[in-house]
Amino acid sequence: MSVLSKMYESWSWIRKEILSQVSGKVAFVLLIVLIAISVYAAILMPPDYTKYWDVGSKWVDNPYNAPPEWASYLGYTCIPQTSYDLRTVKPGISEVTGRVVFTYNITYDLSARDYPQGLRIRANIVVPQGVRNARMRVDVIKPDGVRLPAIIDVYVDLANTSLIDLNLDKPEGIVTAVMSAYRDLVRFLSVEDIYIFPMKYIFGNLSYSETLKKVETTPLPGKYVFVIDFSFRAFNIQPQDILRSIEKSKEFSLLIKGTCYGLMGTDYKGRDLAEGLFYGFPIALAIGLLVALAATAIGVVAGLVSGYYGGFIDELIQRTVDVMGSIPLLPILILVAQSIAKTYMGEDKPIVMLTAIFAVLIIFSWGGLAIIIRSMTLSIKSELYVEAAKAVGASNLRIISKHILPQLVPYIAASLVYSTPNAILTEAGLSVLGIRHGFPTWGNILAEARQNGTISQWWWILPPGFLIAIVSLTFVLLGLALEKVVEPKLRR
Amino acid sequence: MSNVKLEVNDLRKYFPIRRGLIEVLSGKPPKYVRAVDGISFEVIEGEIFCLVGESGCGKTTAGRLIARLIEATGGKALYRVSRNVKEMIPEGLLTNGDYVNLLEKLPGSVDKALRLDIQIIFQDPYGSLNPRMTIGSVLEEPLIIHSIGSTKEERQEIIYRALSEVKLNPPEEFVERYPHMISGGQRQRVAIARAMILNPSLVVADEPVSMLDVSIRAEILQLMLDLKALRNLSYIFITHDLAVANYICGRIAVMYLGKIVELGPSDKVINNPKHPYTIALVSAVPEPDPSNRTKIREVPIKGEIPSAAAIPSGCRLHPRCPYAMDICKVKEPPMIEVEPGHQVACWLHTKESTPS
Amino acid sequence: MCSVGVATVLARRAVFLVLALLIAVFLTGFVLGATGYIDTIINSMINEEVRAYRQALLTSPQKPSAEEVEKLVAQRKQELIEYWGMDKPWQARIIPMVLNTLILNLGRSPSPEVTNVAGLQPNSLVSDVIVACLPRTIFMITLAEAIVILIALAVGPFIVYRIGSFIDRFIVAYAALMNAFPIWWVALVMLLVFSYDLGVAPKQFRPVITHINAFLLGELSALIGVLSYVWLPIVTIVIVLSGPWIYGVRAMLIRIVKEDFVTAAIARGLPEKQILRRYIIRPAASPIVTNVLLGLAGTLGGYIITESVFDWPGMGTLYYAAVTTGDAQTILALTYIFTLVYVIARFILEILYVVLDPRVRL
Repeated sequence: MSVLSKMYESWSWIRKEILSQVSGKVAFVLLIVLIAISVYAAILMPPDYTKYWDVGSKWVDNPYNAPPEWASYLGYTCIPQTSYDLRTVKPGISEVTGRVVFTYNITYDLSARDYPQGLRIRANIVVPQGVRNARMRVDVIKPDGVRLPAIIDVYVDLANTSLIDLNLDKPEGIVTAVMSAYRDLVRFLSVEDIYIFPMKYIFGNLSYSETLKKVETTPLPGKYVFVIDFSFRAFNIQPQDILRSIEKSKEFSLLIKGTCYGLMGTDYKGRDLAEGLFYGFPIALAIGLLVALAATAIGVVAGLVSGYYGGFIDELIQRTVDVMGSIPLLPILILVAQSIAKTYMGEDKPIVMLTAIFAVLIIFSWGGLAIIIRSMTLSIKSELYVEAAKAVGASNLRIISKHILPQLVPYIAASLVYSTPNAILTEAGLSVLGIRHGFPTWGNILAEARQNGTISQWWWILPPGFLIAIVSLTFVLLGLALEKVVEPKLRR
Repeated sequence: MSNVKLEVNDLRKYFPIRRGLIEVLSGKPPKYVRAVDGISFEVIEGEIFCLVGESGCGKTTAGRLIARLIEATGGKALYRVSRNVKEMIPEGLLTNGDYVNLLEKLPGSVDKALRLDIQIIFQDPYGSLNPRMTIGSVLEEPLIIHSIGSTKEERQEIIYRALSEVKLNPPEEFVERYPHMISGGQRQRVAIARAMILNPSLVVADEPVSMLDVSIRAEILQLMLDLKALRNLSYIFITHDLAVANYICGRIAVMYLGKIVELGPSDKVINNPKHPYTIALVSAVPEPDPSNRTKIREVPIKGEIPSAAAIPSGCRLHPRCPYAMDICKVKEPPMIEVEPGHQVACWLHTKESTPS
Repeated sequence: MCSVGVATVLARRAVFLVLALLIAVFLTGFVLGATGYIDTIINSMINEEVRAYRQALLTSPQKPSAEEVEKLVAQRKQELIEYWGMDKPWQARIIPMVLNTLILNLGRSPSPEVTNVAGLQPNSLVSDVIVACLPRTIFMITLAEAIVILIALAVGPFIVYRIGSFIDRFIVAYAALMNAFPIWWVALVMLLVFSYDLGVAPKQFRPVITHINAFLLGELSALIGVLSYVWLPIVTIVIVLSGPWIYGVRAMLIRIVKEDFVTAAIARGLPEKQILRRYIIRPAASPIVTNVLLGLAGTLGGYIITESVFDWPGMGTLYYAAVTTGDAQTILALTYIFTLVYVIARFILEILYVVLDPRVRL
């Protein structure tokens, strides 16, 4: 029988044992789901994920601290992200004092009783040569008829370029717009408040409150009309040509940021938590398995050598494990991680830190398995059939690999199962503690949530920890089911 | 010398006893268990040579020493290697042409080559087979180790033949089975097949039938005899059961506390024992004739066998021997030939003949 | 009982335990030095002092010239470098610290964050800081673990007599669940729910210092104050740890329950209590006592994250504060204490093994 079929036999026997129990069944299902999601996420993961997660530019369009889209069922007023691709909108074309004006009328229906988080206009357009002086002006006509003039009003000089590259995410002109629209409230308006919370003034109903002695805003649902005047000075250029260049451009859009986003909401940087949590799966599994495999491998080798060859190396290994068992792991781990965090400033800092953490974890965890393997090896070594194998000429290597190792499989499996969640938990624990390695793990998300979030952002704080716990649970259940295999006396 | 397969001289194995730190520091000499304390014998080619004795006499250790499963403390064991094995042994290790000292430290390749020539059958038929391996794998292992049979089919053929040889038919059925699926007798047949599969010329059989049901013993013993005739084997047969020894052995050496006390052709030793210990052993054999059951038998020995760590001075048997004399307490008796081929180590007989 | 053999065995164990202790402290020192962490801290300290000195010089009434200022500053910097031993390799700085720690000359803590945890002034004696923080950890974590152990020892035997029953399976499921959830996460959730959401527990835990100090000075009524702070952490720990502990005790007892001599006792019709006491618990005492002692000993340094989540002013938070501020004295001292307690616990166990398990006596 080949080695492979022998191993397959051990594994299928173990699998049968595991599946024969409730805990094993549950664990198996969870494990399959876990692996499936991880593989899927690993395939889809963008190559530079670490940097990408950290850098803000990708998330700029998302609302900050937004609960998930289904939070409306929990009573949250959810405004969805609404985006208008202005390249497909036919503007009204007019000519005013030598300028070509494209007027876009966008109707935005605000149905929820809340303020959108922001608005943004982005344009990346290559206009024909000869176009000068582009101007973008945005007015808002509120449902109650109030018109806020020029909440955005920018000029783009096109003397040396044909590229209009705009990213307007603040209504710069909001203060003057509100002032001019609400002349009778001018005395009571707080410029600072308008500046800090422009959305309240765009999408709200302003009224003077006698009791508070200041202007109050209440959400104003209804149909809003955004009047976007995109105008150019163009000599001898047909408006149609400019229009065509707009239609063919890379981007020209109006975005009204909602208050809810995505499957799992966003964090304080607007990052899509669903994505972060999703890509965290393979990372978590990788961390767990890496450490577990290394620690198990070292433990098995050490245990085998120790038990089989005995003598000085046996004493050495035993004493080493003994001594290491008395040294406190957590303090040393924290110290190592923090020391590196504070002294290493290289580009690959996350990797270096993670490697250091793993190294400490591995060094401290191989011992337990080594002792068990050693005692198993000793007992098998003294069996008669091992002597019989020697009598027919088996080498030490053969005896170890053919006669001893197959019997160690349950212990190896148990060790892998037990150590995998350990690494994930420790890494997360260190992050929560505040020792940040920067790698986008669940622990990282949890740590940021703890630092920058409050209880009201439950969608940020709870899921990462919950996922960590679920992964951990999978392995704990698996270990429970494996116990029967490893400890026959516990069999009912 | 030419038909001597194995010549053992003063074979010794001492096991050191673990001592505490204090004892080491106090300068007391280390203690040993003298399991085998200087035994000498010859095994003639094609004979069945028996080592007989009670538990603890050292016979099993002696067998293991010959089979090169433990390292000897002293002595020489010159073994005449078969022709095919001789080719694999470098000239320098051979004495008198064909003989190798089994008790030397030999290089790995020589050790491995010797396994093709000397094999062992163990006492425990269950313990000697790995319970997690099929019969087929158990038998294939020696072939793989020695690169016999270059394809799976070739090895399969050899295995089938080996199983047929030990009357486990049909062999196709047996190769798939695990040890716990077959009976004790069948397992021992597998062990015998494993010993035979490398075509050895000397087989050490360490109490091969002691753990089998009495009814099966005769079958297995007969199998071993048939194989010996078929393959021209020499056996070193170890047993504590004189009845078995009587059935199968050519020559017997009776061991007590690590030494051979009597040696000779089995019918002479069993029917005309000279050493008091042999006499006691023989008289302790259960009497098969029912009409003799009323005869009160006295086993002419007292007490129990002492520990091998505390061997009595002089003749080892003296505390238990009904015929003990003063000299027995002081001096060890030499091995003397009392009849042709029949030797004894006892002060009772020494005066009667010349030292051999 | 006290034969020479036993004494030699104990002596050997003691040697290795002391070795472990030494290695732990030297390892800590090594990490501090080799990563350059301690140097980073000292350098920033030196630069800080130099900057302050330069500032003082520039604003001093004597109005020294720019060259004079630079010369004096350079001189001062050199002095500081020599004082802190920065002109020698890191071993020269760390090794005296390590040796001092080993003889319990623990030095002073220069870090305000660290002394803050203790509630003392900066530059207090490290020993004072540790003595201040110790009771808080004991009141919280050690106490909680003790409660858990008592629960486990009470429930364990009860369960083991009813293996396979519903309550038994429930306990096993509960233990599995609690084994999976990291204690610091449950602590986070508990805090969020009870302190922030429901408001029935305090949000800040540092104020417990006054209550504990009062209690230690003899004012028994301060205990109520202590309880009002400590109940949430203790409840959290008890919820999370009892599962695995009960499971552990159960596992240890099962091994013995399966033995034939227990079956024989049951067959003889002995009452349950007697069987438990004489036949089951006595042989199980060895592993149980091991876990109890080691568990309690580990409460000092094993719950750093949990303490930090609660911002509880105990040994764990102290250690973390020391690590983040690079307070080498405190780091070394704490590592020493953590390991020392553990090592002493293991040595006591060795002695107990001889008493409890007749087979060991040989």
